[in-house]
Amino acid sequence: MKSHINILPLQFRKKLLVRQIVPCWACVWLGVTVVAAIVCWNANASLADARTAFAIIDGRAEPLRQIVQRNQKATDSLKVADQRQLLVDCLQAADKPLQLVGLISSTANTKDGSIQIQSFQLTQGQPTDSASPVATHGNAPLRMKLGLQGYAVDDLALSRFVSQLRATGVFESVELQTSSNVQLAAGSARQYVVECQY
Amino acid sequence: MSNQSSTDNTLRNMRLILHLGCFSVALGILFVAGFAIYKPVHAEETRVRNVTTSTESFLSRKDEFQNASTRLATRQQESGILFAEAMTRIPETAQKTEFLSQLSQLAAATGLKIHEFRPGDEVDRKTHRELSIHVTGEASYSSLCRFLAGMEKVERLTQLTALQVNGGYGDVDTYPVSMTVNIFFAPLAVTSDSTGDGNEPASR
Repeated sequence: MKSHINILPLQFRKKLLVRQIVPCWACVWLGVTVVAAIVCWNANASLADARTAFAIIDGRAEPLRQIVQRNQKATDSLKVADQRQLLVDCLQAADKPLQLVGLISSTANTKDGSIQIQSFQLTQGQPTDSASPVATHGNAPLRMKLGLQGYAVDDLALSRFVSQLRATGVFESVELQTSSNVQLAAGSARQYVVECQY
Repeated sequence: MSNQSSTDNTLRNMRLILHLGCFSVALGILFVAGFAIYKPVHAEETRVRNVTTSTESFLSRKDEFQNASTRLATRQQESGILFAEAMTRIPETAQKTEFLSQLSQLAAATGLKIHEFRPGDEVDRKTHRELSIHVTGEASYSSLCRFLAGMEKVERLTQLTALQVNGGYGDVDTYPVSMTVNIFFAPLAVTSDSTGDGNEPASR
C-alpha cells in the first residue's frame, strides 16, 4: 500500500483550498444573482403591464366617476330640498285664525244681539303631547287657548252661546270661567269669561 | 503520521466552513432580491390588479349610473320650483326687514294700521330657528278678517301664536289688535356624504 505525504506548508494549502472553493461558489452566486434579476425584472414588467392596463381602464372610468359625483351632488341637493319642504309642511299650521274669528263672530251674532264680545284672546298653550318624541323635537302641534270676554243679556243667552261654541266641534273644551252681574248704561247684564281649547 | 492527520482534519473543517459561508452568501443574495425587490413589486402588482378589478366592476354599472343621473336630473328640475318656494317661506336668515315690508304691504292693502312691530329673541329649535314678532295695531272687523286671510297668503311662512282683539272705541268699528307672529328660518343642512354611494373605486 502506497501512501502520499503532502509536504506543502499548511498556510499554502489553506490558500489553495480558498482558491479552489470560492471561484466555484462565485459561479453559483452569479447564477443566483442572474436568476433573481430575471425574476425581479419579470415582476417589474408584470407590474408595468398591470399599471398600463389600469391606466386604460381608469381613463375609461373617469367620465363615469364624474357622473357619480354629479349624482351625489344632485342627491345631496334633493335631500336638502326635501328637508326644507318637510320643514315647511311641519310648521304650516293647520288651524286658520281667520276661520276662528269668523266662527266666533257667527256664533255670537244673534238676532237680538244678546251676546257681545269685548275681547278675543288667542294664546299658545302647551304642546298636545309633551311626552311624545315629536314634541321634544320642537315641531309638535301646539294646543291653542282662546279666551273670550264680553257681555250677555242674561245667563240663558250666555249658556246658549257656550252650547253653540261646543256644537261647532272645533274646540276640545269650552268652559265658562266666570259670569257676573254688571250694571251697564242700558241696564243690568252678565259679564262673562269663556275659555276654549283646541 | 498523527501530525498529518491533524492537518487533514483542519483542512476538512476549513473546507466545510468555506462551503457553509459561500452557501450563506448565496442565500443572502436570494433574500435581498426576494424581500427588498420582488416582494414590494409583487405587492404593488396585486394592489393594482385589485383596483383594476374593482374599476372594471364599477365600469360594468355604467348604465345604472347613467339612468340614475337622468332620473335625478328630472327630479331636480321638478323640485327646483318647489325648493325656491320653500326657501322663500323659510329662508336661511331671519330677514326681519323683508317680513316687515310684506306685513306693511298687507296691512296697507287690508286697512289695518300697524302701531308697533317688535321682534323678540330668536329661539333655537332642533330643525330650525324661530323669531316671535309682536305686532300691535288697530283695524275694523272686516280689515282684521282681510288681514288674517292675507297672512295665510304671505310669501313668508307665519304662525299666529297669539291674537287679542278688544272692544271697539265707542261706536266706531275699530278695534285695538295685538298679535304675536312667529316666523321661521333655518340654514341649509350640509348633507354631503363625501364617500359618495360607495360605488366609486379608489383611484391611483
